[in-house]
Amino acid sequence: MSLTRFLLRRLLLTPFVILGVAFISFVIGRLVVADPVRAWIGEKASEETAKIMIERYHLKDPIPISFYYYLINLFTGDWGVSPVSGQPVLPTIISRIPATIELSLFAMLLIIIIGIPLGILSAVHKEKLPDHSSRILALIGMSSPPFLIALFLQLTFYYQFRIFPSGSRLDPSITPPPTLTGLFLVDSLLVGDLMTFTISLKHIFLPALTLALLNIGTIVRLVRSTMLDVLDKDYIKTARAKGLKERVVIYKHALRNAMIPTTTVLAMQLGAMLGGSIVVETVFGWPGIGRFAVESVLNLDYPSIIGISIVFALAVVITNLVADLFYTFLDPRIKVD
Amino acid sequence: MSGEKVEKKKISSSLIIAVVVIIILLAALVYYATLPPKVEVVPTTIVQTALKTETLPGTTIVRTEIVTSLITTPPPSYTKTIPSTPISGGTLKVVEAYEPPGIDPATDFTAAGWAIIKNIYDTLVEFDWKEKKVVPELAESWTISQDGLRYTFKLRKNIVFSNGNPFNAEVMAYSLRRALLMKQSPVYLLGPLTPEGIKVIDEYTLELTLTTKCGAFLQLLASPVASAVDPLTVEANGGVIPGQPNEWMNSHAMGTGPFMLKEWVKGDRIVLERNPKYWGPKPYLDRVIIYYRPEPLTRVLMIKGGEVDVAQIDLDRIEDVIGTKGIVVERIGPTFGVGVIQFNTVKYPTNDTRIRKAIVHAINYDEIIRTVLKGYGIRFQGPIPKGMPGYDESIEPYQYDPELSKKFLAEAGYPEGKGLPSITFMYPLDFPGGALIAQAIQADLAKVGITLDLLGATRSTFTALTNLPLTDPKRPELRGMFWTPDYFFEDGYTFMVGSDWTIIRTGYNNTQVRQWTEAAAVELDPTKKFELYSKITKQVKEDAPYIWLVQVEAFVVRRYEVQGLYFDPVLTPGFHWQSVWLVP
Repeated sequence: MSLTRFLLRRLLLTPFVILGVAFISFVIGRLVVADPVRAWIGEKASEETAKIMIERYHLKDPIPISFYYYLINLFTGDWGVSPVSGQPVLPTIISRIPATIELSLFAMLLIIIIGIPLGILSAVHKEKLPDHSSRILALIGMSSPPFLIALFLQLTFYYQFRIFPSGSRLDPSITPPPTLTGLFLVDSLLVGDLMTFTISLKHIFLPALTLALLNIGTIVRLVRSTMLDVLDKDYIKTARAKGLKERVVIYKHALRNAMIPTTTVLAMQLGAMLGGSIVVETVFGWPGIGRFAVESVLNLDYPSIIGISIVFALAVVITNLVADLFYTFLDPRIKVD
Repeated sequence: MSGEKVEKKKISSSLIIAVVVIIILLAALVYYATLPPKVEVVPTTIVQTALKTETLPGTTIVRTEIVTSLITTPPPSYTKTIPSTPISGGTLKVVEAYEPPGIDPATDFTAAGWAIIKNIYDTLVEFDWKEKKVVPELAESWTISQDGLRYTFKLRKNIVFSNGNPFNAEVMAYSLRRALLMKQSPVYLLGPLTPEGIKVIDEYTLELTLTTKCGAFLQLLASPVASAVDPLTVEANGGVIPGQPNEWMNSHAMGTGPFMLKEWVKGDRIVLERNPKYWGPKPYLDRVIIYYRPEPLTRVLMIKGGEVDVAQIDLDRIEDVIGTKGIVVERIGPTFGVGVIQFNTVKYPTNDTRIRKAIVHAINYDEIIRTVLKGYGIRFQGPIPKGMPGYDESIEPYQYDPELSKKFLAEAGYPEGKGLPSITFMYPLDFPGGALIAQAIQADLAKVGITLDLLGATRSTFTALTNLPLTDPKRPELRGMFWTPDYFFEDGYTFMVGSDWTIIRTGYNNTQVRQWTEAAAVELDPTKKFELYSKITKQVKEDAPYIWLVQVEAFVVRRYEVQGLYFDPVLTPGFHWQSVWLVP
């Protein structure tokens, strides 16, 4: 199958995925609390206000009918208005998503630059000190609850050592760089504002490190096991027998093949992080979509919850698509289909 | 064979080294992280709690009262002296838990939102919580007609919005009509005012005619929903659509108040800046930055680390800040926030007044206040809190008396609780200390033979179960609530016992209480009003539709340098920042 056809097919399938996600989150929302009006407007608000809300959100209509109203609006770009904040959902999500993308990408960068070398090191020095150390690190990261790591890093590097700030994307006294991509690190570099870049870097480091520590274990262990697998293969023996330097054998011959399953997992992790890292964003006051998600869930703000679910689904779909395309680059024998 | 043995030995030794090194590293990190930062620790706040016990004359009831006093001493090593006159300048940094969903005065109905709105917008009148009276704000004076239906306001001249647009009677009329037309959650606070009742007499005279008498009307006009908004700004940004919120106004602001909205980074902070065009006494602070951090420990770290000057600290974290140099835990005294538990008076067995009375007398209120609330609360006689004119001091709150409780149980036909089915108590999980209070009540009730099932509910479960009809088997018999004031008037509290809402939520419907409630709400004579509220309190105590748990006391955690905080229970945990200044 050609690449264009593959892409076309994937893109055509996407609306159905979105439709499914929207429908499921809509139904779950309506089934959990059929009449969330009082949670939105408060116990004391008048019956008249409640009536307006019920009508506006079609709460008395059967689920399929109110879903129909929702869908019509969705496809015209109107994702509804939050009954709690009175803000339209789509612009709110759009304003919040760059912070989450920046955080996820930076965390991904940390995972790659720390995780992959650690994995290789573990494989090459199997059952030796580096292997054990990286295994323990991996286990700690994988088995700790997110809030524990987040608070621990905050306690250590903000409160105790005063190296990093406690939260936010930037200091209030600093004007954010002009919006080109929405990512402060990239934008400040593009306009050549090194000071803002350094401050952004300081702010993003702890939340990104928390995210990285949580996810790094999987990558370290995966790279290690696939590398061990590959290093046993005949072609590696051949490469060594040819007298190639060990570094070339490992990085050029072995790693490239070991990267295929790793890419899948990395893509999955990125997709999950793009859906918002609820705990990390809450602890560090990172104004991303994860924190918006928590607030929406607590307020039973269904239009926002469904909107966030759709974005989450889109993130997973897109990252998986990118991963699939990346395979063909890693191994030209693989054909997309 | 021997090679393999050597290999095995190597593995174990390197593994041990790795484990040891990492454990040492981690231990060192944990040790350093938990050390207090390099500051000297001096006790700045001492909370003294003692029990005062007296036997009431002619009875066997022993009345125990908690006497709590607070000594706030400036840290001895602190060289700063507080100047006698306030000093202008500086940026105040604050951390609070919850971010407001929006800041449109006509839409928002949250304490966090009101705390921002009140600093940016003005209302015709303001309520002074210190003196407990209505004071002029945008209106310099007012008259009320004999029948109590017509209010005529003389407005202040030379007031402009922070963009320079003028304020006058037309603007005020537009603002009130706008809120009434939009019909959002707080609109009920405009009481019996209708768009037709708003009349502009001249440029600086406004007349409001009510459909019915309303004793609380002036207090209601101090609510954020009655704020003056700039018509030109509103019309340029979406205008007024009946029944709908205004998106733009929810995230932007243009008022006549002491501060302006400088920046709102959603999910992080709101920055307020001094309004140079403000008509009243200029605020001392140049800027106020309010961070929103839901994680309680982060807030503790932020004030201890010196990043913020005022912090909202949860009661169960208060020990973490007491004793830190430069931090003052200041006790504010009883607020008008009350913790109550509603009975389902329709469902068996709580439809029986004797069962309800058995429950209210089985709870050791003082112990709950002392242990769970750490003394930050006083007994509550319900429904009217101490500090309101309608509060009748001569009425005793429910006494903890297990013997009396057992007597009521026996009268109801369940001696020692035998044969009584278990009762479910639903409480909101997001209320700090809620679970501990629930467990304390459960233990107290068990002592007299009543089995209480606890149901800690998330917001969605709480709402879903509250929506059920009172007769539904799944509807809990007890429902915990925290009731906060929206304005200074007793009818915000008698609403709990004498309104349609009472019938829907509890099933309690005493026609006499309803009549008194309605009469008191429109009664302008203070003596008659007091008598009516006294009657309501006594009757409700007799009928026991609620467990009146506690009237909470507030405290503020601030740095020593922060002066001039003025407490407004409606805005808690926010403040009016206008009077606040910083010791340089």
